[in-house]
Amino acid sequence: MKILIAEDDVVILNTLEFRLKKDGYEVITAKDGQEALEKIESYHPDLLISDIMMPFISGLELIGAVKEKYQDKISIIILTTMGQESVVLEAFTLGADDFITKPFSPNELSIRVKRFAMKHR
Amino acid sequence: MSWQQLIFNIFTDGILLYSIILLSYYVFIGIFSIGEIRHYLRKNSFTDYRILASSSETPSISIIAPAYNEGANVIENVRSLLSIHYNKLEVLVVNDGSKDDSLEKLIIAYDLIKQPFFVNERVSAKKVLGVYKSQNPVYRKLVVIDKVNGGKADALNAGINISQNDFIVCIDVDCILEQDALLKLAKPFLESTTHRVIAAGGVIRIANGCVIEKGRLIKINLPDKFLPRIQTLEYIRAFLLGRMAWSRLNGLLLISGAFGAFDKEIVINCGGYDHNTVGEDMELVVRMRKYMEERGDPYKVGFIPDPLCWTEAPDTFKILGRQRNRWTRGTIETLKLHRIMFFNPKYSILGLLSYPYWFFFEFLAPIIEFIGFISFILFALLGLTDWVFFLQLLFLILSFGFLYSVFAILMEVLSYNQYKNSKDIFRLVMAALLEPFMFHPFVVWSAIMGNLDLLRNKNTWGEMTRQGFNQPKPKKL
Amino acid sequence: MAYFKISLFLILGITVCMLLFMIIILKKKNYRRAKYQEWEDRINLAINTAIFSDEEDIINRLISSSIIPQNVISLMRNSTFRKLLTSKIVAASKSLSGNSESNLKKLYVQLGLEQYALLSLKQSLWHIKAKRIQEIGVMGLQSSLNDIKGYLNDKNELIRTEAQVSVIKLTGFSGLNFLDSIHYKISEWNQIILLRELSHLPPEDFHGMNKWLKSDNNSVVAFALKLAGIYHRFAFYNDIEICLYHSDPDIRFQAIQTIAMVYKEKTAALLKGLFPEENQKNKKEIIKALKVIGNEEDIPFLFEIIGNLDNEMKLMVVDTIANISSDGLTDLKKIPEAHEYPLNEMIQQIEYTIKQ
Repeated sequence: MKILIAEDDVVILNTLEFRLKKDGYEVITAKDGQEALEKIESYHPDLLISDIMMPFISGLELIGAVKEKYQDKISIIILTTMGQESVVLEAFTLGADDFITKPFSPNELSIRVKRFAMKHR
Repeated sequence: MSWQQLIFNIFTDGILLYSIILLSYYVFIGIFSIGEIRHYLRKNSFTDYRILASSSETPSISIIAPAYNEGANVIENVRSLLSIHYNKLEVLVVNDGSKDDSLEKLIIAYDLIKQPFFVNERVSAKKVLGVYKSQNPVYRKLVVIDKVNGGKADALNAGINISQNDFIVCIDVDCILEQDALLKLAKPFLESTTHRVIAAGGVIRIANGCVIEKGRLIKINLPDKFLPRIQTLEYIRAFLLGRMAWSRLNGLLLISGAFGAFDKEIVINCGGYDHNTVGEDMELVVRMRKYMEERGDPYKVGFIPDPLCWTEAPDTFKILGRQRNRWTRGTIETLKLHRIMFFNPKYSILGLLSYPYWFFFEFLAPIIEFIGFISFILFALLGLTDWVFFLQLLFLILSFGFLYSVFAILMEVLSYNQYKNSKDIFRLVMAALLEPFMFHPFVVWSAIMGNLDLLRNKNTWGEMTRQGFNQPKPKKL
Repeated sequence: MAYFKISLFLILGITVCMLLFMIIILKKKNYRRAKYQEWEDRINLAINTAIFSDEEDIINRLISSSIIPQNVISLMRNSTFRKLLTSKIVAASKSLSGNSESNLKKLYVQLGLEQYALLSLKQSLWHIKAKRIQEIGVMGLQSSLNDIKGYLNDKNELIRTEAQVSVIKLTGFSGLNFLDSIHYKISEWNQIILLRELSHLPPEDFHGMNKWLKSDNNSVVAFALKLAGIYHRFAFYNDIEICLYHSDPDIRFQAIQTIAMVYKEKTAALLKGLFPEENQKNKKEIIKALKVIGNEEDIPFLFEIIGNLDNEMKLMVVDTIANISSDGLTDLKKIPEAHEYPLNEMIQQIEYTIKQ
């Protein structure tokens, strides 16, 4: 399964990339919303893991754009900080499939990702 | 001693005295600002601004961006404003009666629809023709206001009337903002337990020569062309040294019109922006300060030395001249409007330090320089000149100017170090050397023209044509 | 002539010194950046391996996989390297939880970084102290708890704030006890940081809440009110109600906000009673509160006050009426003023918004 990680926090990006590669997935990274959109066009990932707050195109706009163009072909997990309930609800309205709050456990994320791997088999 | 000699002596002594005071001021500002910048940098070295991005306790902000004939760029500019990291935010784009199709473009790009809206006219502005919001929830923060043309101050006032939040951030729509610009700008309003922070400003950096794509800053470069490069140096001096020191003294009189945050309640109580002056940004800050002084409540005007906003600087003498001319007229108009504060102890620092400083060293300086120059020519023709003395003084002043610029560049390198290349620093130093010959006289001339134009009562902004940001495809590597 | 020569030499001399200094600084910065690039990949690999490791002795694992050299402990003496490594470990710890976090802590301790932190803590420079306090909190060094507590009343605000946060990180909600005795005012920024820290913990009881709501320190009262609201502490309703009569209008403002989050049946009537005497800002807050807690019974009151308010508040009242009663707007349109400016436009706007 191909995964695109969109996250501007380098530490989290590295950790996620490391873990998911170890789990055997193909991983593409993007440091902001704009780059994410471009790479989605060129790489066609199956799963998008994206932070909600990102430079240039917000996470929400990204979700909206992705769901509009690719519908259910791309699943979306969003990363949020505590206390952003309204944003999370909105993300789900726009079509996000799952969310995880920071600070998070990479192991937990790995398990959630597996669920989507099943779906995209 | 002949009477000519006497006049000459008094005259030169006067200029000498003025120069010494001015130079001492620069030294003082230089030293004072160092401590302040260092303190700020240390404090911020481990501040996590993202806390503010998602907190529900942060001040609510309305960004107001007046737009006039911005053309196709407006869509990307608005997009970059909409993706700013901030929770309680609305972005108001005020279409000030543009003659082009920017409004139509916005309506299409952002799925806008006109709404019935009650415009609470708390400050005066020309008629609002329509308020538009997006049907797409992703753009829920965007509000586009269409109104009859009235100028920048008028457009800002219309935005103030329609804004829903407690703080306003006034910005030029084509400024490129750093991602955490709002977070950093909001912080001063939250930090003081003793003073009310009524406004906060940041540093404007020069975007010429930088690589900009779709409204985002990709790479920072020193401008290639000479004029913007000199202005880079000028801005570094003014912002890093000047404003930082003034902010510490709580005497800051000017927040750049390109980017600044204000407490909306106070702005409204003061009557909003004044349409009758071309220096509306400075005039508002002065009026707000005056209002607070008269009320007697402790207050502060904050300043962030971090680069927050990037904008395009004039790159031809013609446009630069218009800009400086306008700045001069704005300064004079503001000083004139608030002349009651001049050396008036009732206004504490404002009246005893800030106002006199602006009067003597911002307003009068070009005039004195110009008169000095003309007189020198006259005296030379009359054979009265003490060449040795004159050359000594000139050389001393030029060296001091160079020293000051080098100091400013050093401060920049020690603090933000935006230009990491040694070659760029070298070019900045070269610019400092050339400045007194190729730039400064022109600025003084424009200021004199500004004075004359004001006397002749010209009140327009002139035509500020926008070059558009350099759009080289990323070939700079 | 002498003055001239002296001044000139002075000025040119200082300029040359500055230029030289600048060149040195630039070289140093570039060198450091290059070194960072060099070390960065290694350190990232080391940290990521550590995060996902299953072993107790993480360092051995890293050494045996040749990710870090045998002499890593002596490498720690290089302060640039150590600072880079420390900052990366701390940054990673902030973002991750669970096993990953505890692994990072093991790595931190096994590298001997704890000692360096404690040493550095005793230093006098305030920003270094504050950074170390933060580090100790993030890395969970319980043994230093008492040292940190000593800084809770420090005169430097930054040190105080970091100490407060670290104590909460180390001891949970009971870390808020400093509110009992703090003399300094807690700024809004400080409060935001504290709230954020608390949001990471599972909610507990606030043992000091009744004390804090009666504190002499107004900022403590305001903060306690915020906590009571956010965590919906109905148990303290009476104390919150008392704050509605506080002499400081900002505290009353906060109390209005809070009581709308822990309201009872009688709250709306209470707020309506307070309305006439309050200042503009608090009046607006009361109207906002009624939008949340009000119902049909409050409509007459709103109709009564609407005539005498400024435009901003009129609009808020229209909005409130529309939200708390299904017939509210219809009834409002029956009054004569509703057909004139400004009410007519206001009603139009609110009607449209409700439909969305």
